[in-house]
Amino acid sequence: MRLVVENLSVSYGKQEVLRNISLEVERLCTVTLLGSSGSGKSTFLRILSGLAKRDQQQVSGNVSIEGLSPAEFLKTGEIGFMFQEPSLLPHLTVAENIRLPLELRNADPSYAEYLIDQMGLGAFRNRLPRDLSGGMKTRVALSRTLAPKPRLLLLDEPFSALDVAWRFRLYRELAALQAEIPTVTVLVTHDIQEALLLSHRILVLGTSGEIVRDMEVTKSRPGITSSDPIGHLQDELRELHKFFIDEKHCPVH
Amino acid sequence: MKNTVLSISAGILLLIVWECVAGRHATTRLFISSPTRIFQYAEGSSTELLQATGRTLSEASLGLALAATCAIGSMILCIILPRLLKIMLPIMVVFQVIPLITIAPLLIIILGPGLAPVVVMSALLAYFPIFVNFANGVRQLDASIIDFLTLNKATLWDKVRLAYFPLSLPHLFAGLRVGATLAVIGAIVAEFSGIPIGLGRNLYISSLRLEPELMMTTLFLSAALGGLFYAIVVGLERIFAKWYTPGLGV
Repeated sequence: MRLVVENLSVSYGKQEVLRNISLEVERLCTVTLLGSSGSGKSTFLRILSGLAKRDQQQVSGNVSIEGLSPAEFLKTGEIGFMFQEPSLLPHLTVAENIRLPLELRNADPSYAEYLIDQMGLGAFRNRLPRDLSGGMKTRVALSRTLAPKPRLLLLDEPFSALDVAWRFRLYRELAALQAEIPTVTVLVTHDIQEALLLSHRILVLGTSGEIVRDMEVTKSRPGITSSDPIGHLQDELRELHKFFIDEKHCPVH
Repeated sequence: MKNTVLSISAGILLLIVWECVAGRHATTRLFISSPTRIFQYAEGSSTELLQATGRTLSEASLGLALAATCAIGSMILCIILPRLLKIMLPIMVVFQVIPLITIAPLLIIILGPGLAPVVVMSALLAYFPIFVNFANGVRQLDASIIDFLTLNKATLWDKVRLAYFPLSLPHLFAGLRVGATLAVIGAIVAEFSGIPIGLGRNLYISSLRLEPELMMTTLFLSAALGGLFYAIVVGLERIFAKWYTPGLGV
């Protein structure tokens, strides 16, 4: 799997949201884009997914996934995209929602059944989304995204609506499932701890949409304590993040 | 339960007041007759009244079916060609402000007397609310659901059957509820223009001959027909849209 982004810049009218983003991923890993709200993280994911509408924004630079443009790679059906909201089909049950991506590909639904069990959704398989809690909906959405075993997995702040306990449980489940599925994951988040727990590489986006820090995370996931060797990364990221939030919301005159 | 009892009591009270007023005032009796006279009339002319009701029922049913088929069909066409919706919606709004019942005589001239102009009139009136509501449902659809289907190699037909159609059902049924009563009104109004049988024909004759019993019986039957159509749509909604109908789960 080879993902190459070269000098990607995106603007909406006069407002530039991404500036000269370059990235190259050649091995199976998780890359996280860390930045405050409105820093262009979701736009980046939409560009990678091939779903971005070119008429609504000006895009320059190149994006290549396995030598294909995002729009071409989209047609292969090998992208899994988990949106900020679960966006489940409300008239389908939990099991039907998770099986759907496989049914659309005429693929064997057995992996969906495995995911239903893995995510602890067996008892709710015949429930409609309206009968589920927020955490359950997120688990269903994650299972649905992973069901077709995508080679490129895009996660747009998927755990932001969850409480801490559920977040950590899903981190573990995601990490375990990633070990089974060979995939490149691009995660977008503003949560430093989440970025450190799930990533092999973290890109920090500045307020002008440029990458201000690109760091490797070498650790045995998951788990962060004060004695962890990555503790200094956490401190550094915290400082960077705090700086950007302060700069954005409390400008110094 | 308490509300139902109150409603029935209010209805009975209204009938008693009506009977008393009509018994004392000849003018009132001349215009709106009295409940007992109306009941006697309905009993004596039940065959003719049922025939007329059956005719209007079949015309309105065909009109509503035609309107629903055309509205759903044209909306699916708009999903395939999204620009078509942008062109059609303003035209729909203009058409909605035209009093369509005025074209009933024109339809009879074009299609000839018989079932066809009445069905078309009924369908015309019912079409617009069904289409406009369905269009609103499609426009309010969560874009990320369509994105999810696109990412999973869904064809356009998959998107229609999995998202556009089922997720627009609340709006579509809202349109059908309005359309159902309009279909009955359309059929009745079209029958004014020289149709030999039907509730509209009865209303026309009753005003010419000054037959308040026929008029009032026809009014009650028309209301019952509108109520029946509305109830059928609500029943269908409960069958086909369990996922959002309150109190009904899978």
